[in-house]
Amino acid sequence: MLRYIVRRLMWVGLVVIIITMLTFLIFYVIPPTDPAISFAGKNQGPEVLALIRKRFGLDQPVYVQYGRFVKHLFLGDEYGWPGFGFSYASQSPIRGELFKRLGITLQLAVGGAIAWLIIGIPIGIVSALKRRSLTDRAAMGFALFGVSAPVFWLGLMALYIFWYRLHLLPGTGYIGFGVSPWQWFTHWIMPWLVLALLFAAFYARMVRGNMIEAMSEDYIRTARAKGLSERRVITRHAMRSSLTPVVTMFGLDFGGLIGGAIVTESVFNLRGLGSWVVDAVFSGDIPIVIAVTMFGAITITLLNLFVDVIYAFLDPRVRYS
Amino acid sequence: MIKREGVVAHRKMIRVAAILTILVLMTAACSSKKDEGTGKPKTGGIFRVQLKTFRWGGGGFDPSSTYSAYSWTLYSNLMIRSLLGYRHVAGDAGNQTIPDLATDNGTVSSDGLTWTFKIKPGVKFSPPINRAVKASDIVYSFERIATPSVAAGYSFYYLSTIVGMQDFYDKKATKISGITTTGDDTISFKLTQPTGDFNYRVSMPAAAPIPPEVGKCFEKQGEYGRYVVSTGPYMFDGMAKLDPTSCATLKATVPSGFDPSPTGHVKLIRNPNYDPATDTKESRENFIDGLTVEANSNVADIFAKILKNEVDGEIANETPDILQKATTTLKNQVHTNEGDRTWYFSMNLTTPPFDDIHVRRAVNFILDKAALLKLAGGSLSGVIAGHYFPPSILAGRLKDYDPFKTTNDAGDLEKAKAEMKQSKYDKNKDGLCDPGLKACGPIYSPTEQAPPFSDYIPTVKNGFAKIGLKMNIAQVADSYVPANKPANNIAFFMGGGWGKDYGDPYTFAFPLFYGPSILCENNSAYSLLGETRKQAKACKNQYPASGSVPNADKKIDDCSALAGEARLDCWAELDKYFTENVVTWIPYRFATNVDTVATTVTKYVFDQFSGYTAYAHVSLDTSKQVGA
Repeated sequence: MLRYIVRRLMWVGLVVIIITMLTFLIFYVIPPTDPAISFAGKNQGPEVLALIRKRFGLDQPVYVQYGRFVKHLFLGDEYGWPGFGFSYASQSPIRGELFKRLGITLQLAVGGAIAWLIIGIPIGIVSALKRRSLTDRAAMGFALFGVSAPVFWLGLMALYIFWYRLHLLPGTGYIGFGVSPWQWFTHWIMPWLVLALLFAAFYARMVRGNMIEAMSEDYIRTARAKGLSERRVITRHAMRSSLTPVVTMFGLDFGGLIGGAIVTESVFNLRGLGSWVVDAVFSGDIPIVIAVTMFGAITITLLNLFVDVIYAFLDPRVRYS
Repeated sequence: MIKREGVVAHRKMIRVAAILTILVLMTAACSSKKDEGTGKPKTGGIFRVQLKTFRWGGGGFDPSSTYSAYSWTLYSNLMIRSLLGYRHVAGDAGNQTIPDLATDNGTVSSDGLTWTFKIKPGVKFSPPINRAVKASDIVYSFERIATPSVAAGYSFYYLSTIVGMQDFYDKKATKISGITTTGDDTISFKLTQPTGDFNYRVSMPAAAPIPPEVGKCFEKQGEYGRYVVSTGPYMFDGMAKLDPTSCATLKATVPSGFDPSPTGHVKLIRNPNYDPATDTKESRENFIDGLTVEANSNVADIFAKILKNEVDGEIANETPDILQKATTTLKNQVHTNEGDRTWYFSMNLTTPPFDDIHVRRAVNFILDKAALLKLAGGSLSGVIAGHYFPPSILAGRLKDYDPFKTTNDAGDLEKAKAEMKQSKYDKNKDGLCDPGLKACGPIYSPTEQAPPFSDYIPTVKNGFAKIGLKMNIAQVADSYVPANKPANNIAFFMGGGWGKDYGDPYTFAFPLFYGPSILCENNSAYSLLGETRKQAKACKNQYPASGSVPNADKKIDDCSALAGEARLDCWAELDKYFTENVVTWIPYRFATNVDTVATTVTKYVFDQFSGYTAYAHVSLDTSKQVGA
């Protein structure tokens, strides 16, 4: 197992290097905008553009820029490790801002993930066990709604109903836990649930399908034949096999959210990584885009590895050499 | 899952918002009002503003460099005082300069080449500087403008105008020879040529005093923005905590009142060193105790919060569905004013088929401007433009002037064909650009991905097709990028819009139509009017076979030297010349600014200079504020 993990970690390193190359190529070599012009302002002459390019390091050959980019990323820069450089727009280090915003994104992702697991998995199981019942149909109706409804629409509707009309929950924005734990929690309810609804619907459908398949397997019949209680058959045998794909999905979904739940953050005015990177894209603030991209990519890669390792523990058939 | 959260949904949201915007604007047109400022002012309260995202540009809120109208609103109304300033009111009066830091409007020598100002006594810098403003602080501000690393956003208004400033910029001199001081309170500017709008130029934020002991610590682009030292009634929160002993001690602390990131914030509090006796109520009344600006990525939510009095004002360019309710339920809270901005399509004079004036005239006749106005949101978004400079900066001149006026502004095929027949690209004289000619299309034209620009495409395509011009219009993320390089030979640019920097047409004429203003990169003079063959060679763009393009440099110089009514008359004549004899644009809309405030605002005033709310005059009813 250790050898497997080491080998996978080496693969992670390779993947990260490839991602740095692609990211650099997309944003520095073939950028949609010229950062120097974006930040010089209109009508700035060649002298000012040259100074800005020098300051941003854009006057160097591409391979020098890439070398410096990788060096700073892995060894750190003047602002610390990992070295993400500074934002063209705010002229301030990206690193601190990234971790500050990561905190908000993590709160959204963790809360949303807990919510979608709590909602999605039980619905999927119950629905599978009560196939073609009213409960099953209602659950699948919910899943269809969750999968079909765009997140921005759900978010806007939730705000309109629960904040604007019913005054049951506070509106948009973020309140720190230290300011008021209760306000912190109430501000998070809508973002968590809106984000969770989409994923919960997917997970409910997936768990239902897996459970139905598992319940018709021979080993379930054997378990029943051995005289195990139905509850034990479901929890010890059917659920275990039907939830393993959920672990894989969860790792990918959660990792994806670390890169920023762009729409949810935008609708609820949460200053996380997602809304940050969108603004950076529109303003041509390439270092921010790269930092968030790299951070998201590395997180997803590592979570994938983590998921693979967990998988081995969950599924006895999976063994690594 | 990210796919669902991503670009497609975001674009859909933008489209929905755009459609709603148009509905809103159309509804609001019936209920909005123009404002000059009335109400019952009360002192106190924090004015809370939300905007979609901060865009300070490269200046990062440094008054020396920032070329952003909203920055200017905050500076001019609240934070910094230039020699001359503004009343911060709507209309023509709001575009006229009045004394601010100076005791009067200054004296001008008989040859028009020397302007002298005397500084009012008793004006002090905010903490942590706490000393009186001196003439040398203004000299330093001009030195910053002429410091390339600061990247002053509109240095072109000064470099060639003030004697010795270009030499300072080029590091040929260590002082600007044309700026001299007498004692601590008198400053003189010697100009290279009579400049009738110099009063406006000294009113700009970049010309306001900066204490060198702070400014010299921040001479790279965008750095000083976090440490702006106020002379006006308000300052950044946290300024008092700074230690100005040295650059190191100063930089050790960042004032909490300003975070320049796209989702950052501004927090202004009263400046304890501001003495109202040195100011006038005509310029600033200072009812509010402070102001906060926060980013809110959800524009609909900004308006919802205005309706609920959780936010007092907005700087959201979009006006979504919730504004529709505001316009019906809170009629007096929606304010519309002239925007001093022209939206236009620009034609490249060096590139076929627009190197032919008859083609340029033909497209001016064919375009359905009424449709474009409707797509932009109807009458609330502005009025149809018939010429180049907004009438508001011509003191009402040319208000009804439109030589390409057509019935119902819907375009006139007959007139367009008549013009096309005279062009060299219609050899068979059928009123259509000859199909076999490369010049007749496809003509590549970049435009913005977002509405209303993307919505204009069918109107332009179909209209131009009627006179044989085939358009290839591409929606791009930032259409300025391809258009700003003459080497790209963009024949027709649809993303053009220009607002005044100050209330004089020079701010249009110089950057957009003056030959020497053409840049090989980052060029805003898209039409290349006045370009020489030498410039074309340097910029690697094509040049007409005729060997020249129209040139208005002399006319611009002539107008620029004048002052008063003669100056305005001259600009009006130049505008006519551009419109009829050069025809480098299709001007289609003079923009209106729409501003919505909560019912907490008991006195609202529009600032014509900057185009936003005049915070210097607004007042609040704090009892109505929710969550303050």
